[in-house]
Amino acid sequence: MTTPLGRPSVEPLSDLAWGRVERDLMAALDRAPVAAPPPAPRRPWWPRAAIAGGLVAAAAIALLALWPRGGGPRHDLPSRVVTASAPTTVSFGDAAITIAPSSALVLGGRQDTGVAIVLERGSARFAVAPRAGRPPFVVHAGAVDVRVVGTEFTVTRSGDAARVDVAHGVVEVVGHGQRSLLQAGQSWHSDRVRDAALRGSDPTMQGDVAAALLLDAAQPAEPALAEPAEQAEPPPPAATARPRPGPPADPRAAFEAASALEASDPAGALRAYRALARGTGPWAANALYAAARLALDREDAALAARLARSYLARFPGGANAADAAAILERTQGAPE
Amino acid sequence: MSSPQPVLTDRDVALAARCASGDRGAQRELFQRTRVVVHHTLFRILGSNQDMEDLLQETFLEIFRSIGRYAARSALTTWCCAIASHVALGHLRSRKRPTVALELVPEIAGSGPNAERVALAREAARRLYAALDKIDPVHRVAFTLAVVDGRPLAEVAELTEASLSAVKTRVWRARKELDRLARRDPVLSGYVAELAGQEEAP
Repeated sequence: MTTPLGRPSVEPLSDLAWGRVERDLMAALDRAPVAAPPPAPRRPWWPRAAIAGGLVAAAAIALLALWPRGGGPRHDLPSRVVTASAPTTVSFGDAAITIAPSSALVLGGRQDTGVAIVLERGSARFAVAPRAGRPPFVVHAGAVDVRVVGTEFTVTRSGDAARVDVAHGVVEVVGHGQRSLLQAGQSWHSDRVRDAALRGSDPTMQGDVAAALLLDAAQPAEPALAEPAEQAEPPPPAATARPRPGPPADPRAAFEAASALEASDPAGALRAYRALARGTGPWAANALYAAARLALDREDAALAARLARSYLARFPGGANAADAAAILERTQGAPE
Repeated sequence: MSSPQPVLTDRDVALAARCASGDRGAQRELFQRTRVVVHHTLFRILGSNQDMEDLLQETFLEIFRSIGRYAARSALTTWCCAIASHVALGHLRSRKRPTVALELVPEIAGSGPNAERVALAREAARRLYAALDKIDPVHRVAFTLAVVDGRPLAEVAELTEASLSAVKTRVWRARKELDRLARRDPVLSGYVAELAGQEEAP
């Protein structure tokens, strides 16, 4: 063999196949939640019998030693709490959590290393001791993270969207790549931040509204619930020639926001993808391919072909190069 | 594998913790982040996309079942590939009789100066995986990862949870078995020699 043949090529899976895999995987996870603790290893009976007595004594000693400074339960494995038609209140370390009806959350972490709570759905009110000198206390609600500084607050989750209302103290919210510090009486909603981020990266809209919607850490506390969007200044009147906005600060968040918009506003999602694709890096590549795919879904073969060609020209070795080539093949005959 | 070996980051640890707590957004993120490398690993070992959708689902379910045990000793991507290798090995062992992957690489009517070379490469790859079907699955996994995919032996040891010397032995034995099977097949013997030469190159 004189000419090297190279390594065998890896045949890519189609978008359709990946869609099936993801859909079936998520359905399987819904049917049987995973993250089970590791199975206990099988051991012969006699070593256990031999040390059982010693363990009992050691446990009693440890219990006596730890009891005075225990201060509450320690949690190594996550516990899941689901409410039906009535609310319920649980204590978790130094926090009291009131869970609204039809809600579900997972309590995880440990008091001594940090508490992580995942709000799966619904709403929960948290009364948490100030964290100064204490390990972190974080609530995850979809793509939004709420880090407690020391406060009483409510997190409400609806799908991937989340709302945070602070009653007392201060919390830090991270969502869609933006970080905000909320004080007593202030509220935050991920949808508003997402929409603002999208508008900020869309050249057809006014500049970066997202920054105006986010609360400033130095902003004084409002006496009542104050929505950040209502505090924002209205955008200035449209200018005839506007500079093209730069790439978004967090391209990944912009991509996810565009992705979330696909079902409700595909035209807006397409604009957002194309705006993001003007940048550089992997998220620009992902956005350019997503724009081509979405254009094809919307039966705009000419645009899909143009975007797929652009993808192959700019990212010939990209993760979706084979898929872009497939789009191009499916749109054969579309104008250049 | 031409891409550099992934590096463990704090983000890996945080993402794994969120997945372990059942956060569906985190699970989707992990799926999106690792699906290409997981598919690549499975394909390299098996040589075709036959049963691939089932195997991908099995791999990711196993990843999410085991994510609570992720000890952050390696990058999350590497850890996921190790599970993919394990699933592929189980699949090879459970197959009642080896199947030759006739659709190993999709047939594309070609023309031009490279057409003959592409056709020859496709045929060589088909014969390689047909021969790999006849050897010990454990040796096959080590050989495909180290020689066909070109991963460093240390990485293969990590992916297969074996010692470096065990991996060397497995690759050597696979090579011996393939040489024996390729005695009367110059296309296969030349291809195995070429891949092994790439693996040995600095």
